Amino acid sequence: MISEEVAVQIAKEAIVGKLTPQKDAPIETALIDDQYIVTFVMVLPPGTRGPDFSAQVTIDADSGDVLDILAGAD
Amino acid sequence: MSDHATQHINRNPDIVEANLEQENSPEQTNSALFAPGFGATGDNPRQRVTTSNILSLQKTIGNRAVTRLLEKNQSSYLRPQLSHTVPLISRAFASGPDLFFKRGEAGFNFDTKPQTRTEGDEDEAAATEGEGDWNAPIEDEADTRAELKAGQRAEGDEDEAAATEGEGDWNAPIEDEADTRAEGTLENSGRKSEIRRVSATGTIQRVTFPRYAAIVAAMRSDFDADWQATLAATTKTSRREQGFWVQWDSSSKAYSVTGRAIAPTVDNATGATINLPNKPADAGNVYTIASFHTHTPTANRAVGRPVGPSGADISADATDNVAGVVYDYVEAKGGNIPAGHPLNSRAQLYSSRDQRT
Repeated sequence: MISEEVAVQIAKEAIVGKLTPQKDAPIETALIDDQYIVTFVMVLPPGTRGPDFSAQVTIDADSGDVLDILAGAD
Repeated sequence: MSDHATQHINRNPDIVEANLEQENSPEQTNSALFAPGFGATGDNPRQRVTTSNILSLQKTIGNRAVTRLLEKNQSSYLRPQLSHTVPLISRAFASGPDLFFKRGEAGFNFDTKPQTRTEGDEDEAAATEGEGDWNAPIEDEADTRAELKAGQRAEGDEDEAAATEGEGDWNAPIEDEADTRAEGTLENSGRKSEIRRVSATGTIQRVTFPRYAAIVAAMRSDFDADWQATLAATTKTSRREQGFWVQWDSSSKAYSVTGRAIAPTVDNATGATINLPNKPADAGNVYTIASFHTHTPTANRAVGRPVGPSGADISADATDNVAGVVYDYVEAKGGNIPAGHPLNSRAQLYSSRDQRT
């Protein structure tokens, strides 16, 4: 099983050219059912309507394969 | 007895001076002189009568005896010579909504029309001690009318509101809050006073704001127009959101659009956001009740996304205390639409918040 740090690195590489994460925004990881879900959080000013994250990457925790990439709801 | 006074004044100018001081000193209004023999001892046949020595007399010879002495000797010499011609004795007082009058007091005319009273009148009122300011206006609290926003609704209203889901509760009951106005008559005979508390009716008008379904029903064409405009603004490399505030007139029940906003255009890799202008303040019967904005197509994007309101959308509507309406695609699978989702795919309205409260 890959480490959390590796999962984040894989996620960063996976979104290049597809989604631009918000600069300095936090990155959250969760391990659910042998899958890492790496979320590039989007921080919005109060009152702003927009997506909750710039990108969310699902990674197989064993193989490190990227299973899915989603943008936020916008 | 007046001779006593004269003698005394002539013999003892200090006391005269003291009395003159009393005239100008409200704090000492309970000081006076006793006639000879009235509880006096020693060389000084007269002594200053004060509250304390009256109390002392009351303790030694009793209340009744002191009262009888004072009643029998109406001369000012035997009675405390008060500096104020009229003592400050309450003739009426208020307790909650009730007014109480001293038995026998008369002269208050409840039919007196209120007059404008300014701050300076306080001094004037003080200058007429003993003459109750019966013409002072009675605060007309009964006319106070509060219009409560839905957020101030009483408990229990939720059920009622729920029963009218999708329909503004236009016929919400107007509650009577019994403001009270004291009314009454007093006979001028000085022997009878009567207080009657009569309940006057005040009203609190309650406004229940339209729910999401009612807003959609009324504003559908405006929402559709903005969605179409959003699709039309989408290019191969860019897209953007747009939206507006929905206002509602509680009197005419009419809806209107205000604060239209076109969000900045973003490329396909960047999250699209929208900042509506500041929520318009309520004005009269017109309330800002909802926000509306569109989401953007993924037709030219490399990734898919969830559909419907985001957490930020929901949070913003909660902060703004408005219902929230979002125009977005119908989900394709698992709550998402994929990358390259056809531009004119089926879309729908989502609720990010049901109702302004």
